[in-house]
Amino acid sequence: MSLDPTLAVAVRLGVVAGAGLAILGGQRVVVAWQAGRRRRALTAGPAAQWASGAPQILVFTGTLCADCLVQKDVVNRLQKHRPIFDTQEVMAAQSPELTRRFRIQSVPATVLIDAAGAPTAVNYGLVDEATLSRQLDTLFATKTAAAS
Amino acid sequence: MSTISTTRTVDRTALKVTQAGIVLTLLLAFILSALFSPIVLLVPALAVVMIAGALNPEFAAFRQLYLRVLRPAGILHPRPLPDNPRPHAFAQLMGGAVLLIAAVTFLAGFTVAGWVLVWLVLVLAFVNLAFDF
Repeated sequence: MSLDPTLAVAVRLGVVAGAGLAILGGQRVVVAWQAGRRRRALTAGPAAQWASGAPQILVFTGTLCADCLVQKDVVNRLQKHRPIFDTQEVMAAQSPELTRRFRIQSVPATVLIDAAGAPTAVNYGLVDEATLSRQLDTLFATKTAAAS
Repeated sequence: MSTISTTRTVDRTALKVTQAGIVLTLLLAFILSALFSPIVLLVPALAVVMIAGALNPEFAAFRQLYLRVLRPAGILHPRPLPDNPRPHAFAQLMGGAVLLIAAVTFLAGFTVAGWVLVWLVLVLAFVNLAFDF
């Protein structure tokens, strides 16, 4: 049984609209879940081992990870422009406690730690220099506000 | 921290144009084939374009449209960001392969199964376009 062409087009447009709504709904769920994951990672609290007196960026990497090489390049370039933080590469597979603490499920991932050893930002996936720089600005702005 | 000797970048605008082209072409094929069934030939045509473009960027039709028309006309601007181009090329290759299978499925008379495969590529391209996922 074939549909009237106009009705067939209408049905297909309905399918497109339904799919669009489903994707948008799914995206909201994913964003909320990632925000929750990030929130739980940041409430991990400071750790004495990271209280080095200078902000740090932990770069979680893995073997056979091409994006991890790109991420390390981005962090190193940022450090050249703004030599105000230390970096530490963490092999995610060899650091189960750290990956659990920061809810790391894939690499690359980056965690910004302030001078007191508390995490201030977590990025899951490749992050660009501008975003990391903004997060450093926020870290320093919070530090200045706390000091004054 | 050890580094690679060169920083690879990908023009995100070129990527978005390609993804938008794939989504629009497949949507047009899906909707208009209800009125004029030969429009479904857009599916194998797009498959060939995607596979050829993944293997050699010179044959990437949407990318060339961006480079030769949209960017010089100032309609779109480049946005190079640190990234690895190979996963994107691989994804395009896989998408083209699935569309080829969809085309064969249409030929075999399994229309619904063919559209399911087309929608798989369409949804993934859209998610990539809209949410960088």
